[in-house]
Amino acid sequence: MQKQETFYEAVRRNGISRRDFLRFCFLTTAYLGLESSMVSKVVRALESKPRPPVFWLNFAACTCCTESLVRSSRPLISDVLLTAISLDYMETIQVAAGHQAEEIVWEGMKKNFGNYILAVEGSVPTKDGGVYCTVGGMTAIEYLKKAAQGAKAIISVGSCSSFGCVTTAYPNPTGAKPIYKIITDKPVVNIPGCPPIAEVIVGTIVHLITFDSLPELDSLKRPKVFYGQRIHDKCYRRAFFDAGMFVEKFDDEGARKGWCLYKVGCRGPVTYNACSIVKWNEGTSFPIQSGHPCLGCSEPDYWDKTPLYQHVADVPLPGFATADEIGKGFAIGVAVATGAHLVASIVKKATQKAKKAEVGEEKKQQKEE
Amino acid sequence: MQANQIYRVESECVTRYYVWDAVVRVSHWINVIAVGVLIFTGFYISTPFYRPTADEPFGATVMATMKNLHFLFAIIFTLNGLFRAYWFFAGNTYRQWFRFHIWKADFWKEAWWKLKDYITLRYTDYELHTLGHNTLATLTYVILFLAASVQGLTGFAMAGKINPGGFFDTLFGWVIPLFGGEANVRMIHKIIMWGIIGFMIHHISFVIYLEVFREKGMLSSMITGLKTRPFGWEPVEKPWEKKEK
Ligand code: HEM
Ligand code: SF4
Ligand code: SF4
Repeated sequence: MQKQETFYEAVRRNGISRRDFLRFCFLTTAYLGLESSMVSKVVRALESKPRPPVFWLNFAACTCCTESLVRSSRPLISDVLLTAISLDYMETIQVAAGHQAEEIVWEGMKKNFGNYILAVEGSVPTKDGGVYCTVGGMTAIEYLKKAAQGAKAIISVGSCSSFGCVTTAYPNPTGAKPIYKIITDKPVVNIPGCPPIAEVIVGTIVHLITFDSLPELDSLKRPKVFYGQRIHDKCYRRAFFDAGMFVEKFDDEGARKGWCLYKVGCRGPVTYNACSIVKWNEGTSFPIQSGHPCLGCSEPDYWDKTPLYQHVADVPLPGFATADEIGKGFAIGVAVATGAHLVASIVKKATQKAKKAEVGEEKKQQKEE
Repeated sequence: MQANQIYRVESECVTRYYVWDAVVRVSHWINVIAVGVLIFTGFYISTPFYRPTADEPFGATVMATMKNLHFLFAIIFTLNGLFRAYWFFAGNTYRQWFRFHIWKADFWKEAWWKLKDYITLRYTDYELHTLGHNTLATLTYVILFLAASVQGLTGFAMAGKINPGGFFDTLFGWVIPLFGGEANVRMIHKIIMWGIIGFMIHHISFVIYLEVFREKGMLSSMITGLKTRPFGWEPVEKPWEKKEK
């Protein structure tokens, strides 16, 4: 068998200079939150280790994660992923189609059994035997289970495959489920976001290559380096939050001056993501910077946390009630019941007194007679 | 009734019993202050109604102050609650935690009897054998205690994330995945606050009512520790077995 190309060889073959390669290593090391001394380790790993094949599966999703990755304008990121990490199968960008494409996947997976990385975009519909999503004549469930058998690790890219997004939103007619609920016997990393930031996807894959292990994960299986902190705690508008200066509605004075977006529904205080640090599009901006509240796209079931422009969501009983309404209803109910009880007791006591007095009067009258 | 625990002052036509010891009373009023501040600051955090007139964010710290106050009083509330839980066992008999026998039929019979008593405005002359809390009240307070615990868990979990991996995060971080994300944690925190407000509305108006109209000395008992009963009062065990006229 021919020796597998290393990551470094592959980038060089694709015309990327050593300087750019090193820049990529520096950037990624920084994103991963590693010390600068680790740069050499990352460089050495990428130079010497065979590049692991990545198979990218698309199930029930909108392909925004692919878009995020492919369109990342930081040149190296996309180049590196598309050419160097040996993205052997990705429907959106591959040349092969139809039977040929399917052959490539299963061939490739057989050849690299136990070594490849499976990146999954989209959730898996499970209702009615999973007929609502089929690829190459197989249901998504069968496909995923078969593909997962030889995978070293599974990366759930995007909110759909991590937690459930628009495809699993209420009432979820296709019974779609995130990946970790279906594959339970393999390490799964969640990279939520709608879409996730390209640097975050790449960073996670590079970590896998460099250290042969998953990055440290939190209790929701997200890499801690990227999802360890709230948007809110690293938001540059935080000073306005702490001061109590809020945008009351879009286009008001505060909005023009860049005040905090909490009152127009910012979910930054409950959202764990790297947007306020890594930002988007070559670190140009992120939603809050362009005046839009965070929607909490990387949190579990964020489509069901409606309305989106409200910083605490309503209780997930559509058309029924909100947290505040339930609470107020309860408090008002108690107030009314207590009030009614009070009034009734007073009335009862008063009538009893009156009755007693009446009885007394009668007795007096009887005596007098 | 254990005689050694009864403190009687006979005056006019009533008997007074020393029911709430100083610890219970002090901790009660600490609770009142803490929950008052927590509700006010919590409301501000949720719906910031006041905006400083400043043009620049420096100098003004309204929200930060509210959050800090909320956290400070949350710690007071929690420590007070923990001590109070200990006193549940260590305090005098009127704490009566040992009467919390949900597995016994009598517990539910008594609670049901008391509830009917309240709802139908019957107010029979049978007095329960309890001077502390009756069964229904015990049940209410246990539920309140649980609600306050969940409030504390969710609150400290949110607060902990300011410093991931820090003290509070290590202790309470597990709460967030338990509820499926911090958005839900926040929502639950808010709903329970409404529950506590509901309890307070009932609690306050009821003790005033019992003080003024039923002359049971409920409100003043939290100040003096003394509860009032009619002179010659006979406690009744199992009043629900008595035939009513
Ligand atoms: C016992 C310990 C408590 C702790 C540690 C605690 C902590 C917190 C924290 C950290 C927040 C801010 C959440 C955020 O901005 O991300 C918060 C919010 C809030 N707290 Fe508490 N709290 C406690 C008890 C209470 C109690 C007893 C009440 C009222 C009865 C209350 C009512 C509220 C309300 C209304 C909010 C605003 C929720 C929202 O709309 O987001 N808290 N609490
Ligand atoms: S804009 Fe959002 S994330 Fe930023 S400080 Fe305000 S509430 Fe927090
Ligand atoms: S700012 Fe919030 S909603 Fe926007 S991309 Fe980031 S996590 Fe998603």
